[in-house]
Amino acid sequence: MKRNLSDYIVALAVIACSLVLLTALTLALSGFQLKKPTRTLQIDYQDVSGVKVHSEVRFAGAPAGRVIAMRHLSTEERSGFDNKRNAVRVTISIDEGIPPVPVDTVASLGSDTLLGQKFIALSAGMPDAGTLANAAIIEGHPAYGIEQITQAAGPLLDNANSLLTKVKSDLGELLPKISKLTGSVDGLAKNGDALVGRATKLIADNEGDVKKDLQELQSVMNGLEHVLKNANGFIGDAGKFVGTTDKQLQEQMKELHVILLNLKVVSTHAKALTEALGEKPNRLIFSGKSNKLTPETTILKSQQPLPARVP
Amino acid sequence: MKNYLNLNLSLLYWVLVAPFSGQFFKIAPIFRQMVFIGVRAAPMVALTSFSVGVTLAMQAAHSLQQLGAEIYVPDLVTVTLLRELGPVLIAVIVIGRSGSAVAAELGTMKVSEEIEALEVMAINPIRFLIVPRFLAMLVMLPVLTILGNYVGFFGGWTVCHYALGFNTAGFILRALESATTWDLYSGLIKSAVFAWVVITIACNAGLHVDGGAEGVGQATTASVVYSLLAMLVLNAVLTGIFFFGS
Repeated sequence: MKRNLSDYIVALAVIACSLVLLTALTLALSGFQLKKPTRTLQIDYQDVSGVKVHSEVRFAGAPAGRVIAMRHLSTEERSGFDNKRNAVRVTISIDEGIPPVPVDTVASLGSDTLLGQKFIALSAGMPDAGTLANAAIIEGHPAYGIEQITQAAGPLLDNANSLLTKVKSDLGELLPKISKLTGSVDGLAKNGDALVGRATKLIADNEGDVKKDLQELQSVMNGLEHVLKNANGFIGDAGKFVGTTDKQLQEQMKELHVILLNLKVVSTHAKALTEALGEKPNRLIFSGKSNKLTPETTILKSQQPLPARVP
Repeated sequence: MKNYLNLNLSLLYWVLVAPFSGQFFKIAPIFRQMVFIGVRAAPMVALTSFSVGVTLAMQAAHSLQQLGAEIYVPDLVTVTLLRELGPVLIAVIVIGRSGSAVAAELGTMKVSEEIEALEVMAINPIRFLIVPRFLAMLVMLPVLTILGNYVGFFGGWTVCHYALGFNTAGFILRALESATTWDLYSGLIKSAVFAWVVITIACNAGLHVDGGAEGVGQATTASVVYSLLAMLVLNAVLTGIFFFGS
């Protein structure tokens, strides 16, 4: 009996706990809130793709609440609005501590990235613009995600289409002008063709004379070339001759230099001999003390005539 | 197969029809089986679910971080646990632990002719042995699934909080935002169906043991194998029904 009782208690406790957990999970997943939100705001949107119950609400970029309900607007409600495209009403709760939402606040759908989760973005507005009442209804602005960018490309393509249509009509006017211009260009081409024909004829008429002149010119050129070749040979020979002569001349000049040096010494000494013969000829006959002559090396180094005897 | 269908029909009779004709089944054995099948399996289920939650979060974080989308880790953990991994893995644990035990226990009773003895005493073995196990499993497997889901979330939170820098409120909000009530109940429906299949296969295997101890072993093995196969096939079928039906 004791075992049965403990089994009852344990099993019932486990079942009760699981029921509590199940209830809590169910309520949490269904968006049930124990504490009713003190401040709400209703926003009408044309399209709320990506937004669902529990989606985040940001006021000036900071977390400020949650989406607590969403419903489609009835046909009667839509027809009563200024903007009849609005189709969904989103109710958001605004957390305590968030300042009153200004009247000029703009509610749009945002996401951090193109792939990111959508959230309701409330702009800060101006503080002196007045505040929205609790549960006030405002109009939301659509999101600018990849779908909207794709949708925005639609009018662009329509514009491109109309542009192409206009180009086509303009082309209809332009084509005759181009055709006329082509005709003028054709006439000009014909004139050019005639001019080229005449030039060709002129060249053909004078072709014989030109050829003859060219042949003469060629023979003159050949003659000149021959002369040039001979002149080259002559210049070469002359160069060789000058080279040989120059070499011989240099050797002879060297010999002449030696001779002149010897002559310089001889003439100096001859001066002494002449003086001696002129003053005392008997010395040559009877001998006597010889005079000391200027050395040959001194004579050769000197640039001026020297006395024959050393003073 | 014929025995299995007969067992199911008998069970339906004793659970749905017989109580209205004054043939109530006893409550005490049901609670005893609940404790055996469910409560004592809770630690294993908790450990398995926690490790699955942790692993799932880490694997998801590894891939999603490359896309800069680690914010979606709680979403993935929650939805995967609620819809698929919670019911399937907990059913695997229960098959391995409780299903095999039921098959072995009934098989041993069959081999030792206890079941024949009950019949001799005009006690219907289905009513006396199978119905309590069947009802206990039908209640406790979804209960274990709920517990496993919570523990799995806790495992996911552990990774998100300590490795990815999520705060607790952020994790819970993301998890709740991504899942729906239907995700939870589809998992519980799967869990109830698995419970039915697992316990009926185990009981059928135990009630039709041939031979001695060897037959009991073979019946236990067959019970585990067939339960796993049936559970996985049914999981695919139910997922298909929920996928195409929603």
